[in-house]
Amino acid sequence: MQRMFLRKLTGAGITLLCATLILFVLIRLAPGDPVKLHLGPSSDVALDSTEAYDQRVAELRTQLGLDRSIFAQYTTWMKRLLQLDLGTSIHTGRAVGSELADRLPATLALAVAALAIQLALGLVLGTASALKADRLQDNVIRLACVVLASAPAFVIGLFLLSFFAVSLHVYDISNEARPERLWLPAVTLGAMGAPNLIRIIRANLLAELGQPYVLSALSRGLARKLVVRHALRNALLPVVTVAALSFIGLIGGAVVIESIFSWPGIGKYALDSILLKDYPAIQGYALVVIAMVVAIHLLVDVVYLFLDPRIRRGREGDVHA
Amino acid sequence: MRKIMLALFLIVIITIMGCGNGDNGGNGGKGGKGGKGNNQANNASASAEPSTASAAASEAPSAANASNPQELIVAGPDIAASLDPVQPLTSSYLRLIGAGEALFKVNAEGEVEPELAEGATETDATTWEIKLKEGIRFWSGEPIDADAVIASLERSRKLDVQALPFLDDLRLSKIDDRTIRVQTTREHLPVPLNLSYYQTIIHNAEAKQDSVETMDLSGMYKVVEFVPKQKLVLEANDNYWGEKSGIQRIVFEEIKDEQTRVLSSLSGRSHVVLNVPVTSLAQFGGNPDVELVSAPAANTQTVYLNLRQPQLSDVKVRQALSWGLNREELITLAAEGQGEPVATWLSSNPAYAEARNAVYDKFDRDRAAKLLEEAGWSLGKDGIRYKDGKPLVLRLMTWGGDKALGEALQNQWTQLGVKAEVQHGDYSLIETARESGNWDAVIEAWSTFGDEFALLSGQYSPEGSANYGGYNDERTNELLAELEQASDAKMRHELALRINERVAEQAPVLSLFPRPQITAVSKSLQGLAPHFRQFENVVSAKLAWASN
Repeated sequence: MQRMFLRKLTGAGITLLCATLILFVLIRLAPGDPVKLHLGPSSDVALDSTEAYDQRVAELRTQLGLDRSIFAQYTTWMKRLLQLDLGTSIHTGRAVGSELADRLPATLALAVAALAIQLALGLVLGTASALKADRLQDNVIRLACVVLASAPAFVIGLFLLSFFAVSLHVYDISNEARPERLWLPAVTLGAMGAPNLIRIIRANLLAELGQPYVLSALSRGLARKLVVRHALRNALLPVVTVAALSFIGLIGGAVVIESIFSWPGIGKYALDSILLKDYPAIQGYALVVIAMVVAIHLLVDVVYLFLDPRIRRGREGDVHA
Repeated sequence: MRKIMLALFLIVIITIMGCGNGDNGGNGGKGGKGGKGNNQANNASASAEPSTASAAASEAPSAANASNPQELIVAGPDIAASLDPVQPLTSSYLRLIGAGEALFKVNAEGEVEPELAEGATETDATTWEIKLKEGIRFWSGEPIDADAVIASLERSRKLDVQALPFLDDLRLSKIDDRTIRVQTTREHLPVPLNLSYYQTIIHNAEAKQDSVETMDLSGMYKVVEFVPKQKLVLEANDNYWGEKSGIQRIVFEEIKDEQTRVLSSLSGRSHVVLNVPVTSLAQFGGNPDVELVSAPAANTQTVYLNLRQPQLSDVKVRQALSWGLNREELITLAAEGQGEPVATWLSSNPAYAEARNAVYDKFDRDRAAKLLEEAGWSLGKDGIRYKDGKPLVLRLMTWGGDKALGEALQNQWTQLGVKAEVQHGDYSLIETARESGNWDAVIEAWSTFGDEFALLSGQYSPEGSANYGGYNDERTNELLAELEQASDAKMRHELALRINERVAEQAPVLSLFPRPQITAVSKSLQGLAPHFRQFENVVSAKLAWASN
């Protein structure tokens, strides 16, 4: 067990290292000069000579180490990382670590709330859909799933924002991460992610309900509610993986929703940084997200060991063999 | 299982509970109540005459203000990333919001007025004397004297690359505590105009401008809270030297998404919303609580052509592209009718409005076709023009909100027989293409307000930073040299017009219309006047709540 855990941890470390290297190179291959984007155009009145501007660009590039080779830049970044320093944002001049730390709680709060809504909708509607398979209720739920899964995030987000903020005046459009502003982006993200879970729970539950042990239990007179509960428990195992993947997506990919709701999380920070080619900020964001992805995958593997005795026994068998 | 369900239920309930708390806490309290106030106004106005609706609208914010009086909320697409005025664009945000002041400012008519200065006198062709106002002070109480002003401007010159066009030609020295001598490297340089740009705002060079506690400016509002790229909170400067506004507190928020900004205005949360997209104008129709302030910006939407490309090196082709533009239609399609066509670059500047229809006085597709024929581009059976077997191709690169404009241009040029392609993307792509020379045409909009020589040489002299296409015309260069030497204002104006016209004839760029500049303002607010440089003219002493 310990050996397996150690192996996974080593694999996670290597994944993280490779991912940072690929990312480091890729963002530098993208067009755009971060220094020129930071300084902006030479002025709102064009210059009759660009000499001083070009000189300032060159100075700043040297100051930021961008005139060195990519390998040299990567080595410097890694050295800083080992000291838990993510570097300094070109655009704000602040430490990337503290900028991310300021925004991460907002993103985590949004992701946890959205995941909870997703799971609640998935469990309730997925179960209802399976229990009433091919009946009106099931068809309505499936249709709603298709609509939610196919509508773009910005359409649903703007519609809900317009309805609750402009028509009902029950939502406040600002850019602060206050608890009373969490519900609407969370509901939007939760509702958009729910169809996947609903469909998985429905399919798994239908498969479980067709198993011989269910038929046997029912024929022996066990209450239907109790049988469904047992079947649901067995149907939920894949949901752990889907929920974990969904959580990762919510952390790293809620960019559109964070932007529409002006929710000051790391998604919006990443978007701003990408537009400005703020290398240290993009690298810092990507590192944190990749680290979280790796950690969550690791956690899912461990959780599986505890949730599914078959896997645990299989591993133990391997070790003994 | 039961525990998991219970935990999920609790999280969902806690999240949803936020729904009922929309008007609690901080700014949200204000915003939430503002929203409700406006809701009441909407309900009232639904059954009332327009005048009553207006009255109800003006009462709504006063109800909102009852909980948090005097707080004004301004939403813009960007706010400062730093507090230091020498950092890129920071000074424009600080001026917009009433925190920063320069020696001079430009009014809505384009005239230069004193701000921290009392006045300026041109003593000879290369010397000006600027007298400072008496009793002016920084927020810290430190006097703003000649030494402080010189130190501030020298710091801007040294550290702010965007201040270079305005300060590079000036040499400053102190005459006495209230008088500064400015010597210029060029004769008859309009020094007060140069010192009116936001890049020259006066700050205490002795102070560290990196935190709310240490920064030291002179405006009527002091920064009390700052979250980079998120919000700037300001409070009235009680020791302000000049006329004060009745508004005590301002929150300047960054709301990047343009649709969200529009909704913020419509919901009643934001009192002033900057950069309203033209595509959202219909959403404001019939809203009794918001009015739109629209002043054409003094910058021209311009297509810059790459004269190094073989098909564009021929002046007749470039002229044909200009004659073939129906500018009225472009404004309808790409700017929702917001603006007037301008056929020459300088004419979006109010002082040069007379040149609006110079050279290309009408849309003339026949003339354009004739010019293309003369240049050897004959119409093929497929509707595209060919020369030596090669099609007439024009790849137009657009970015930001110019996609619709690009497509409208594509449509008009296609009707002329030009195989026009639009490539919409990030500005970085345009910069990269320009550096490599692999581009035909791009859309940009530079300011047309300022010193004529600086403006025109920046655009059309061979070394000009905005002369992307490599325009190098002997006659234009001669006229620029004459303009540089001209001492008389009337002569400068005449020469600027001649250069403007010459450039339009040579068509290295195609001028279209002034970039629309729309601000949504709550009717609860009074005193926000249209300005052709609205981005730095929002907060002033004239702002007041309508009910006050």
